[in-house]
Amino acid sequence: MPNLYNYTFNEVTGTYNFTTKNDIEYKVVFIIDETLDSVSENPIENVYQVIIEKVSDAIEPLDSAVGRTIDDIIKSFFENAQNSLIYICSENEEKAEIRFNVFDRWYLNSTFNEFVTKIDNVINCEANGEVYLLYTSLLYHNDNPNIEYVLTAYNSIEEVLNSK
Amino acid sequence: MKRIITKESIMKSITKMVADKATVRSFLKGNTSIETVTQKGIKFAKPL
Repeated sequence: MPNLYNYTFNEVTGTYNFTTKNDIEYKVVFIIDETLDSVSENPIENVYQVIIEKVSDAIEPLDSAVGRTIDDIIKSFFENAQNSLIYICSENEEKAEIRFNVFDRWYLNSTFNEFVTKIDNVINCEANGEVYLLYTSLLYHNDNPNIEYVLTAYNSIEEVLNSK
Repeated sequence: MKRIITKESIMKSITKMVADKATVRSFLKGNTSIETVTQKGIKFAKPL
């Protein structure tokens, strides 16, 4: 893939880092997510959240290599077909819907969408007398051998949240 | 042992997930220490 930035893994911080030609630093981190595990009767592993952060405060000039580098990182992530990514954003978070739509466009334009499926679910739920709107997405490899468990757990989130 | 899955346990898990994300963003910006991240039970991975 042309025009990518080299990224390195920092063992101390646990982050994947790269710096652009404009000297803007990005950090990408994967954290183990136990949300699906918490709604499954069977243990579910290899589910992560990915968090991408522009660390530098400077305004970034348009640089398509940034998107391609992140795309390459995610593509490498899915070299293990058992890996899945979950994305949950509550409407309380700043720009939740915008972030959710950006995430969708990023997937549609990615180089891995031929072998990685994304499913979305926007959940309305009520808890402790308050109504929440949750934007959720799940990305999984089409050859994931555990996909039945993973999908059952993902789909049960809404079911349980909306139960009486 | 069969797990008991309740609405409360899922809300707790989702709330933690959203909070963890904010903590990690703050960590990446240098505003939160790695000790705080660890104390909150956030586990970084090296899946690549």
